[in-house]
Amino acid sequence: MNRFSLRNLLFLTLCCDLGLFTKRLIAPAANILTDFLRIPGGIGTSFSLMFLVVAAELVPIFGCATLMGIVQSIIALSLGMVGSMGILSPIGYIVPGIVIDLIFLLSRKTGLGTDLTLTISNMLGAAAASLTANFIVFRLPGVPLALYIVVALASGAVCGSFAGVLVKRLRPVFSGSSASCFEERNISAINHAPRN
Amino acid sequence: MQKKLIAGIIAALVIVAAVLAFINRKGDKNVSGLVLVSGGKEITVAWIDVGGQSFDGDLVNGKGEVSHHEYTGAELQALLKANGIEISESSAITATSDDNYSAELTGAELLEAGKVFVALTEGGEQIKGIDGGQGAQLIVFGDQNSKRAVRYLKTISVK
Repeated sequence: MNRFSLRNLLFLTLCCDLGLFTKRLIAPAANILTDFLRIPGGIGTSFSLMFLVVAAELVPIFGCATLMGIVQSIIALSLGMVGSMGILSPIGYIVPGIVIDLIFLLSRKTGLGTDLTLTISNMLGAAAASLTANFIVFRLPGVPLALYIVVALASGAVCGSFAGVLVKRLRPVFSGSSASCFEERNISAINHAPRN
Repeated sequence: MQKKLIAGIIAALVIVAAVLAFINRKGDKNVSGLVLVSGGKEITVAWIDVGGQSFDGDLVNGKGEVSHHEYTGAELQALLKANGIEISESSAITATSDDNYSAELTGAELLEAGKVFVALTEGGEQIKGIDGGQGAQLIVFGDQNSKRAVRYLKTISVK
């Protein structure tokens, strides 16, 4: 299979855009919770990273999540969606991408299950994003920082589980060969065809 | 097996987050002063450190009646600057009270000299907080009603 097929590249682009723009979409809802907890975020980032994790699982190219982080940061910079990190916002996109890639590399070597890989990569990606933002902008002290990281980990775990569901739905359409999928559909169609 | 493990991880993290959130909020209650929030950072300025600048001016109530008031406190822009928070014309400022009433201000309004103040005393009398102790009130001169005169002022958020 050509890993850099047009379909794969289009899928990566779609996930980049979804990750970037859905973060803005769920931000008002996520902010209700983060404002209540008095932390600067973490939930929206986890949701955004879910799409990177799904793409990294379905397009098994090493560096895929980092590449998507770079593309996201370029889009964000060009559209002025830099948030509180300003010109340093690319770091906030790229660091989680690197972490996700490393978890996937580790997972492929150790044979960690798909669900666990997706969950852990989403969790650690979100935590890395939070730590980066804290290092560059927020500089939160002890308890608020711990809460910020734990919320990022927890929401990352939940989004990682959702990523598992998405991957299960998308894999038949996406993986291996579309031909086998096509064949399955034909067999299915034959089975459901009226018999005389 | 994996699903149980993931559910366990989520449950454990939610419990830890709940405990930390409780500790975080409990810590806030011990602080008495004006809370300044900017860029995710929170600074609590004790009432005594807010300032004792005297200022006075005319305020208009909802019926259009004008009255003259004398206060002590601090000009909000100076207070923010003294605590490392810079204001630009495009800044958005939210003043929130202890009972969650809030008012919006613009950076341009704050930068206008003699317009927005935090008052600690009025006519020589202490402004009471919601618990009866020292409190503060937001004073915006030039408004055509008193909707932004936030009593029990607790938090100033700058975005």
